[in-house]
Amino acid sequence: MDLRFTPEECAFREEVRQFLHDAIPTALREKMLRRRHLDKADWVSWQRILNAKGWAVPGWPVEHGGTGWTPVQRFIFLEELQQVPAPEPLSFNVGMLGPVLIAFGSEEQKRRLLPRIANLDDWWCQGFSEPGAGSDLASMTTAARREGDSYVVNGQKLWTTQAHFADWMFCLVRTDASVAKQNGITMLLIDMKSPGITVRPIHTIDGHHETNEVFLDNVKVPVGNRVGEENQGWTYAKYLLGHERSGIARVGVSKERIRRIKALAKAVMDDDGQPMSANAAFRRRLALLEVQVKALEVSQLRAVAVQRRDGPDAFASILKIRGSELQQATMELLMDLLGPMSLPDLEDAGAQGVVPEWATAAAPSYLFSRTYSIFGGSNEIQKNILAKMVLELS
Amino acid sequence: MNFDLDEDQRSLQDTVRRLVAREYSHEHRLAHARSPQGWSQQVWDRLVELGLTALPFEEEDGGLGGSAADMLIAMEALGEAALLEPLLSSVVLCGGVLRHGASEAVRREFLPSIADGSLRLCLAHAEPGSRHAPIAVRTTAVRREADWLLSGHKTLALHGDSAMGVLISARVRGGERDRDGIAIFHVSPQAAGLQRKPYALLDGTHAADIVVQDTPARLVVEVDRAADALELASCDAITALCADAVGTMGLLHALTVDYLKTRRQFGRAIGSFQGLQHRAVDMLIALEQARSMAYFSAMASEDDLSARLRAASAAKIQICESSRYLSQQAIQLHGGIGMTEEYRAGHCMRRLLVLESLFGDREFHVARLAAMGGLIDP
Repeated sequence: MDLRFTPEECAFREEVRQFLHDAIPTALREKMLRRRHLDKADWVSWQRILNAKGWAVPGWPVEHGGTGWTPVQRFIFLEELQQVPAPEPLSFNVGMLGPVLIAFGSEEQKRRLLPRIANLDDWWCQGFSEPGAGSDLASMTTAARREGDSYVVNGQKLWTTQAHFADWMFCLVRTDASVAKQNGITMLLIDMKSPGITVRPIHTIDGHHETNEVFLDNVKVPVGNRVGEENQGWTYAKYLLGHERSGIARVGVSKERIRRIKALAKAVMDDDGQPMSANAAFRRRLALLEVQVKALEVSQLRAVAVQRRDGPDAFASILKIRGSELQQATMELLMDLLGPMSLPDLEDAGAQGVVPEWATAAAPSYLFSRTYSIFGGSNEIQKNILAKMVLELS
Repeated sequence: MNFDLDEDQRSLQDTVRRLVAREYSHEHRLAHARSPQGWSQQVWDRLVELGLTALPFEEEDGGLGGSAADMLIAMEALGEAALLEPLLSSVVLCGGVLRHGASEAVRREFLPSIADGSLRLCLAHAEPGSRHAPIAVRTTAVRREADWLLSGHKTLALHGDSAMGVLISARVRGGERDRDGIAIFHVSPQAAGLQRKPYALLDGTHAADIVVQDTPARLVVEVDRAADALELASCDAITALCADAVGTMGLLHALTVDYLKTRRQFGRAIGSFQGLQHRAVDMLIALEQARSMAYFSAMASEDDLSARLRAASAAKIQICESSRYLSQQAIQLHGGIGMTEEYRAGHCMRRLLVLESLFGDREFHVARLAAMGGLIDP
């Protein structure tokens, strides 16, 4: 056990930091700092900057464009990226579908799709959840029946993040309803331009449109767009959801936000007209939050900086739970710091100029942050997993 | 950065775990606690044999030159025992004060015997009413010819009843809370005018109030170094204590999870109820966050004083939070049996209460960390 970053790791951090700060377009960084929503073009251009540097898909095997970094280096890269702040490589492409295709896709799929995934030539969305299948994902009913060289898909997907940006969807469909529910699922790659697909926006409590319903009505999908074997989709879905752990806690996001809170606290006054940065109650609340973020950061490091792992892997679920809770808590503190300045509604044109522009995104971001403990396996599901797999309670 | 244990560290961990399993059962511990000095000479000799008393010292001071990680591993493994022997008080605390503050001559004189276990010192620093203040010293030191004469009242000196020598902080000049003007003195327990009032703490650890009146003493840490030495030693102590507490919390969690698997109500193991499963998971999360912060405190052990104080405060805050939560939930999930004196969980809780308070409680450290600007530089 060596509790220090090696000189090589420190030098690597410097190199990454230098590159990212030089490479990020000023307008994009400003948007990120102010928590403005990014356009599709923002994502695409940044992903291509990373890809040109060879850093778009760090966790992939080297032969498919990965960097060959150690898990600690990947942790450092993500932490620095989050602290610029800059967008992370698009998770649907880079963290989810890429690794699944590398592990289970055909040679033809890998050759054709992986470079486009890495360069964000194709934007992928995730067709998993359904109206009747949230935490109980395996209960999904969207069905595919075989007709010649195609599947014909009928059903509805829900909470499909950025489906309105997407060119393609990796989608779980039911191909056998007569077996145990996990054993009749197949993963298909569906062109979002196919006839029969309707994307309907869902506006969330923050007033923004990020997620969608996707209706599939007799959508034809060539058999060649199946991932791996028929009825093995559940295995691939589990692999996909458990694949990338280097950045799962998103510690850099919480750290960046704490820096932002510290900077703003100098300019925001408390009820006695003194800067919040000098308010004892505020400072204590902030200090407590910093402790929790540090505990998460070290926990994340403990998860990546090990060669051998004994027993079941407790950390992925713990990191998901604490990571989401702390992203929420930092967002909440930022909103509370701003107080009444967070009230004017960003969506109302009349509110422009009433409060400083940097104050207006706090409440919507807080509202949207409530989703962090719901998506990607809700925190309650994570606790079920920990109880069963780690504590062996049943 | 690497959290894998190397071969030596694995063997250190195994050896300490074996010692705890064989010689520090709950029954053994109760017997040690009931003995007149409140701990076992035999166990102390075993700790010496295993090199644990020499671990934190440099080789030229008679030590093994162990790393912060080595100490962490040893202390966490010892945490399951809730050790009563004076490892923290003599080796970490007094050894730390001398290591950080004493001249080379004084270090050469004391440290090798502390490292080989033949000398056991206690630190008498806190005074009645000083609460957690790191520097609150009214005890005076007055020069008379070659000697210093100390007068004052010290409290909560860990193992103050059985220590073979006492390190006492005393004021040469200035007011009670001034960082400047204190020095550290060595006093023999048999010295004129020294009285000890021994007592046991909640967890069975022995401590003493020590009153001195014109007691002759020898200066061992000069005025210009004493405050820093005390604070650095408190950081060492907090790092060790955090690992120790994590070991105890781990035991408490394991006891609770076992109980959930064996206790049956409504015709099934109570661990099958989701409400209780999630509580046991919340305990696991609290435990792992505490472990991470014990590591963090150790990671900072080569940093400057300001960074060390911030890291120690941050670690102690997390330890206190996790420890309260785990203690309360462990008793709750055990139900009535958890409330009995006979069962082990309550003893873990009492131990953790002591560790929560020593070297500053949660409130103290939150205030200090906030005043120091937190952990993340803007």
